[in-house]
Amino acid sequence: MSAPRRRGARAGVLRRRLWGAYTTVVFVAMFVPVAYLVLMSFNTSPYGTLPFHPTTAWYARLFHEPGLAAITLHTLAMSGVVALACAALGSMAAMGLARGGLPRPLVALLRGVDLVPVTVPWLVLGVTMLLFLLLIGSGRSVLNLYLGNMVVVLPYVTILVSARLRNERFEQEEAGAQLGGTPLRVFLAITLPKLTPSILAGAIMAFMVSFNNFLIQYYLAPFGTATLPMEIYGLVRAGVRPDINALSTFLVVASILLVLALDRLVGIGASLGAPRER
Amino acid sequence: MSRGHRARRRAAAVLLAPAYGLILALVLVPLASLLAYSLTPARVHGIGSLALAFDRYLRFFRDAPSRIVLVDSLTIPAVATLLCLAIGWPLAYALAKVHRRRGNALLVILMTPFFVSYLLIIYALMGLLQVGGPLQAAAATLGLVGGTQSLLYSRGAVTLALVYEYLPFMVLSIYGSLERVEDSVLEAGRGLGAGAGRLFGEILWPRSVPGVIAGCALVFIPATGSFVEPQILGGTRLSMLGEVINAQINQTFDLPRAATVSLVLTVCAVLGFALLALALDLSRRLARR
Repeated sequence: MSAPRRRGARAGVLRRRLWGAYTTVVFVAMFVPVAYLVLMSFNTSPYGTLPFHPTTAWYARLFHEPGLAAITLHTLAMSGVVALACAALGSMAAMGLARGGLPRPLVALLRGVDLVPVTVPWLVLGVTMLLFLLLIGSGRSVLNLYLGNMVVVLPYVTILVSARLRNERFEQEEAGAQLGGTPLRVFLAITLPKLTPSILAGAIMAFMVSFNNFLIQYYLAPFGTATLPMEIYGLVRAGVRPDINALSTFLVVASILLVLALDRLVGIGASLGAPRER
Repeated sequence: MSRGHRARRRAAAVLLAPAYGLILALVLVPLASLLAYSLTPARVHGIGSLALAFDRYLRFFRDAPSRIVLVDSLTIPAVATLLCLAIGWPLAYALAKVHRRRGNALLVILMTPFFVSYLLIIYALMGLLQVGGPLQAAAATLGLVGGTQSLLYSRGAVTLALVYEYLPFMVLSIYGSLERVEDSVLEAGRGLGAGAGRLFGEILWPRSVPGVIAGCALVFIPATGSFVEPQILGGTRLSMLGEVINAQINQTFDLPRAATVSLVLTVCAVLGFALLALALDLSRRLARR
């Protein structure tokens, strides 16, 4: 009895080691470009090639880049406004879908509609929105830039909050209603606190995606207004290099902090709709 | 219908109206109007004749360069999708079933590059693959390429960028469906003497197919709309429809043609994905038998 079991345990250890090696290889490979950018931001060579001679000159140059700070602030402000608006509209939509007592096929249809902005290539969405806005006599403008960014990330909030509404138990809502609480009071006292982590997670996702959403910005931003991704695109095309490395190091660090925040709030697994371990 | 019920529905309408109104106005109606736009005569507002519209589509398909670009716009994302599947499925399995205790921490790490702008990933690959860049230098040392031969400006470079950008989506989708496979089922299979191959073919693969299909939707369809990747990493040697559409918007200002090409691209992407999904679903049905 014990010999086969030991053999089984040994096979199990070997199996875990092999999978561990595979996971390590893929993860290391995945971080090669990011690590390369950070490394090269401290390298003297302006062409992104080895050997490595350390310098911080590119950071000094980055801070003297005219206009970059203003562009970064504008992009941050835009993503912030978009994230807040999406948090509100997306949570409202998720509540309406889950608690509105609508016919099931309609709810399924609306949940399907949420997938359209997520899957249609953003290039096609950006171009389509621009063509439509031109057709109705509008076109590129700051308002349209904000609305276009919103419509693309809004479904993330709706989907995340919907997943939470489905996975959590809400008996207290009924109790609250039976004790005579108005729907608004029940929502504020019971439902909203439970939803807060996923609303925040949705807002963070919305913030990150709209901050980086070059294609939507590229087609809807008014001429003369640049966002940070548009600026990076311009620099990459022009071949100006080392300052981008320094800039991307900041962006990588900021992204890592936001991912960690997202994980602290809901757990990455749960934020993707996977049921939480109970 | 009771009064309470009606009030609830009215509340639902108020909750849903802003979000879905926005999607309707800025996504669904514009997508529908793309068709109308592609029917307009060039540079003139107002709907043109049907003959004119067909002519624009016919010209697109009769034009040999457009056909080559269309084929590249579908095959490069298709290869990238299959690579994501080949690399991502085992990774999702490892995260969901082997390193379960560290699974969440590993997912966090996996998400990070997804949050870094893809322009920076493209830019990094540009540096890595150029002559003298670390990857090119390594490949040259191994004798895979000539010392002065760039790895840039090739289908391979564009495909690599797409794999980097979209791999997390594939892994996360598959992870979701594999995580739901109960351990007791796998234990029972092992206990009855099933090898890794049978566990994969009869339990793991069929159960993961919905996640794989979702992953393919999140990789293949968006990837067909790439334009910066082929522009920067593909150079002038190859092109994808995204670049063509962009040039029509920003250089030649031929907006109706841009609408036509956008529509062709979207329809082809959805058809390509549907074929892929059908094949995957078939593999699930065959395995279940």
